[in-house]
Amino acid sequence: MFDSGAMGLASSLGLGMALALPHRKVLVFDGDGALLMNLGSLATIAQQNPANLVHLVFQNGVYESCGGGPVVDAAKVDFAQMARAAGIERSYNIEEEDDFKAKVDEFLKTPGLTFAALKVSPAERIQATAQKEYIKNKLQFMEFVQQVGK
Amino acid sequence: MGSPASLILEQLKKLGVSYIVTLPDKWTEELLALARSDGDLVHVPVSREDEGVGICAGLYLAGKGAALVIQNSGLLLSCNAIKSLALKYRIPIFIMVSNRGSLEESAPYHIAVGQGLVTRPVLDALRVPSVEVTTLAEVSKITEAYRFCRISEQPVAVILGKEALVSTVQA
Repeated sequence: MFDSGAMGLASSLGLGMALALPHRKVLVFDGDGALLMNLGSLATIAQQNPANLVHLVFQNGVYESCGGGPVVDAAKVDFAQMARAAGIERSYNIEEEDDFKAKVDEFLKTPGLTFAALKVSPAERIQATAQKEYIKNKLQFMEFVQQVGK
Repeated sequence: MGSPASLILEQLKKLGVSYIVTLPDKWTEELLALARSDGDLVHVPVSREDEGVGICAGLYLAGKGAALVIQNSGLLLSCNAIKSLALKYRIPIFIMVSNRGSLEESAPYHIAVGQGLVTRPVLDALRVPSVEVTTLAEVSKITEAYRFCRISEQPVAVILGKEALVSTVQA
């Protein structure tokens, strides 16, 4: 589900879903600025230790969804070390596309709580969606996760 | 009649709540202790209350019932999560708030802060429906509030007083 509001809560939404759906793999696509707003979630996730959760952080150094302003020296932040310090053992910083390609199978196929920060360049901002689209988006997403692979 | 904590949990379980997402407060101590030891409930402690709004939303999207049990200071902190996630997407987050710093408060720190005086006005400003439960006899209102929350698909708050949470009122 794409959420452009409630910055910082992607990891928490993902944790809720991972706890509710232990038979499914849950992927979270987070931002560096967003994760810095909810760092405590790393400790919360580590305590629950859901084996089906993969938390990926796009480390692009900007608040892309709100105009592209810089995140506090985010390029210097070692997110993998932060995640590991919070108790998520399988944590990586990935700088090259090829390194990601080499790891992605492991992320998707091997059980175990996983965290990875991916160094990427800023891209173009995604346009906002109309209000009724948000609700439709939510309902479609709910139907999908609650029906598929039950 | 059981303790306030057992009456609350009994109702939540009957309503299909299987996850209790919490950040501790003195008034909710008994409730949280009971939730932790209850085999029918999954207890999810959080580092910050707005995180709990996200976790409850994730549980809801995946078809599970949850209650967020927090102090009112945590509710104040969670305003953006409630507005830009729960209200925006019409996600029924069931929030149970201990109303510290209200007129029944005895702890000097909370009296000084007085956050209990703004709990309701803040919820009203957010357009989050709420009900006050200040006595043991009123605890049954939780059932109605939870149904309202789920059927209307919006966050709803239960503002809990000391007598509705603490079995020996001394905190």
